Amino acid sequence: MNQMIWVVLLPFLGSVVCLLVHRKLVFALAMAASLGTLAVAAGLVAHVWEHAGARVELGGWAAPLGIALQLDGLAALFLLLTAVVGVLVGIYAGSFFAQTSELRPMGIHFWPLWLLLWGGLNGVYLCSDAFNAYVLLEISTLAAVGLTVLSGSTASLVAGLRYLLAAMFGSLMYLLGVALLYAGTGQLDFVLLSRSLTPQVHVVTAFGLMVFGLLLKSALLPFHFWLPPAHASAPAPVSAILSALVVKASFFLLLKIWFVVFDSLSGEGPGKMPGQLLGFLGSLAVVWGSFQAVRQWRLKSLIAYSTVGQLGYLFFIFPVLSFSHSPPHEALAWGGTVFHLFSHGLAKASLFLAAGCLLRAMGTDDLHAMRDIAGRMPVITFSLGVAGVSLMGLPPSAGFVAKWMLLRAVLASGQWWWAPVIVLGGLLTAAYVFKILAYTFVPSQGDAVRLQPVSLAMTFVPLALAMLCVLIGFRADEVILLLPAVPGCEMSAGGGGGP
Amino acid sequence: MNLTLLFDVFLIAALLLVSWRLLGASDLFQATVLFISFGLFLSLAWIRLQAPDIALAEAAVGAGLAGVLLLGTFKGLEPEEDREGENLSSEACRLDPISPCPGRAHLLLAFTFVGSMTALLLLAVLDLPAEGDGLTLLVFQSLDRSGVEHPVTAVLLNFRFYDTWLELGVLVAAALSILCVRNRLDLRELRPSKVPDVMLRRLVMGLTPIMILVVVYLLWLGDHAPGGAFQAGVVLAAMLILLWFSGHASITSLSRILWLFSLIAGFAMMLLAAVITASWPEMRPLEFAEEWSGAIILAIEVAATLSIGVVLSSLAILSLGAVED
Amino acid sequence: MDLSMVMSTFFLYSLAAMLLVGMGIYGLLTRRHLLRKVMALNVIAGGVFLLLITTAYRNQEHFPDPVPQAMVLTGIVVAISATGFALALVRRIHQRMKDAKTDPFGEKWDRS
Repeated sequence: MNQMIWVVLLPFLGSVVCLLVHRKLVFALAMAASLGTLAVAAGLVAHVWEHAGARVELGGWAAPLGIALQLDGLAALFLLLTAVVGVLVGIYAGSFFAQTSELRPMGIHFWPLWLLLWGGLNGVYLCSDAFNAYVLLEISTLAAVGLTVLSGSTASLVAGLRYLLAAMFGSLMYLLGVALLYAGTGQLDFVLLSRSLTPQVHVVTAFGLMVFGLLLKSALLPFHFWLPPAHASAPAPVSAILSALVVKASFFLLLKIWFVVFDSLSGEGPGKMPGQLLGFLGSLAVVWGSFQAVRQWRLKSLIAYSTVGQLGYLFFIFPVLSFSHSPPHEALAWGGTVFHLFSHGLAKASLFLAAGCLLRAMGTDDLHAMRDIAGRMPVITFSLGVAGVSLMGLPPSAGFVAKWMLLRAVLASGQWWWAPVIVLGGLLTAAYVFKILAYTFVPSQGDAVRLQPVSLAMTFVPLALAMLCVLIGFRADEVILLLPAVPGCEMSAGGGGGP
Repeated sequence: MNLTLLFDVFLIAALLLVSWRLLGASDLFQATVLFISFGLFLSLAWIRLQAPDIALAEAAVGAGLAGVLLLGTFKGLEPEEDREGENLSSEACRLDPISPCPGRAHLLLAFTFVGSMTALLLLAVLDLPAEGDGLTLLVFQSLDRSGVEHPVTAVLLNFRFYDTWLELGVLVAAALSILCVRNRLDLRELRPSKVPDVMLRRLVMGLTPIMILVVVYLLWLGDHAPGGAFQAGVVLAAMLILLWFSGHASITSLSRILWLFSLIAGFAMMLLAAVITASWPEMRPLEFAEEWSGAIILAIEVAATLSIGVVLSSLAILSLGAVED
Repeated sequence: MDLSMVMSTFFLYSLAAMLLVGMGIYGLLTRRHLLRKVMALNVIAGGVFLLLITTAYRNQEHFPDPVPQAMVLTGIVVAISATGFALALVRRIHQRMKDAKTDPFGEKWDRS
């Protein structure tokens, strides 16, 4: 299973090469690295499908001393999502940064930073070491903030600084948790840690600190303040990457910390409380984020607030699984969460990229300025519609499968009080999706804005993402079959390097 | 024994007092100076706690370089009126966008939150076992298979090589991100804001060979004693900054491609090691054959020293350089 | 709680470390100037590093544990990178705001 590390190596190689070669070659080489990463990621998914997870000890040093990479179903799916979005956003970006002379210099910085970020994200998915995760989070954060400020506009600089300060604070809180755990147990490996933890004050404090740090980075409601300005002010391909992938890497780590490292601590008596709290914050996020999205008049701000709302759905898994560990809810909750990750990732990337096309064509992303867009840019409007349908959770999209599974998981675990939130979130989502679509159909009143031409690649990539989002709705069974390997197997199959 | 305790108490009191003042002092310049002394007290603590590697790094980076960066930024904000700058910039990016101004309620809330959190942290620390080896024994048992004799270097460049590689990636990401912010492609033509004086030029000229010697010595030392790529890189950075500041040729005279090469040398070298070991059939990724590991680590350390020196000096030069747009 | 235990080097320094973290967080949340926020983050980092180093020192019969020491060395590099980046942003924003006084908040300015 040594090929596992190639999902980290290939993007890093691409990044180094893109820095050094002539700018005419950059796009071709970056795409080569991206496609290579996609191929390796697909191979890893196939490996998990056929065999099971795998573990590689880097440098041949076994776990307490060295660092291991751990592949499981969840990691494989995250790798695949990142690779699919990465390749498509790459195609779009190649065309996006070639548009004008102002954008071309940004392209020079975009490729090395994005590939560095990609390598960091893939590293997070394979990570099995608490301190290693900190370094990976930092490399992703610095590259992500660098990409946010790519345009150099004042809004993006301010948003980038806010993002950087929040993320640094989050990482430090995470690191403090790691330091407490190391002082208590002398371990850093996730699996070995999970075996040596007992409910003591310092362990619970470390749990709180690590969860707090990661919540700050994954922008759950009271900590979402940095997200909308950063995602709204970055260039379109960057917004797509930030919303579809970057916040989810910290969420992935949160899942690992919660269900692998601290699994033995949650679930009984007072152990239910943290799960309920996250569920509560998640519901607040769904309602408040979606409500704020309905109120926005700039398309990119609207989509960014929609991210705040949609991220809320991801947190229902914590109350569901901390209430009862019976297999049917477990499979439903994992399936719903992963489907939501996929559908939101693809749909949100599609929306941001489509918004980038509109911004290019109209010169603004103000909803009021949209006149007869549906007639003049039918493909873009269609992508907006399809991605919007998936966000709302209408059949047959992946979004429907996700929300339906989450709803069933919530009801099956006897926590009916989350169900109205899921439904209300869907209604609010419908409200803002229709708000966008309604404005694209406003007929022009003679004084229509002259539209700038948008390249073919930029037109069809959002459509491809939106279509994928619908199509994976039909492949629900396979995805779910990959998943039960997630929480249970990891504990037994992992830790091959224990002393 | 009692004398050590006295020293500990004094050092801790100084650390706490300095950090309290640097966060509380109303004068920003004073706070910056206090920040530098905070770094120095911290490195004293590292020496006291038998971490000479960290003490070297902290004195050079935590106090030295961070101080230079803060002072440089402070100077950059200063020429206009300071008060106004304070209002404008904090207005622009306060972390709390909802409340218009942090009033008494805000302070009380923050105090309650931080107070209870600190209390919890103190309890957590008291709950820690008073003794524990961590991984000490394991590191010393594996040391003879690592290719170096100094345990910290062995951890950094062999046992946890992946972390160190990624850490160089963080440096590259930071340098590239700062270029984005400054809207530049390289450092060419960046000049110090003041004309260097002749005495300084001569002095730096005389110091340069000595500093090069120190870099080589620290690099060689890392094999068996405190020192190594990081400490050597910091001295290299100091040398490059001084050369630039006194008007000599430095990294600002490098072309973009040469500058990039030295910027990513360490990261790329480690990447190369990773690619080779990952494609080698009988080896694990990042595994170095025992007989070669000493040489491989040395080669990587040389490249890493160059990169660390170039990145850290670039950070400083970008922050101190005269603003041109 | 035994007083002599609290007075041991490990507890003395680790308690101080937590106080540093607390002070840093308070500074980060209440101080408004950006330079001060960056300094506050560095104070928090100093506290975290102090906890790690005093953990490494804990077993006095042997050598100090090299793993936390290596972690702190890595952490210092990460901290200085992030600090440098944050300061570059602060300076650039300040410069923009100065320009914006003559050309008050251009159309790109979005107060969300």
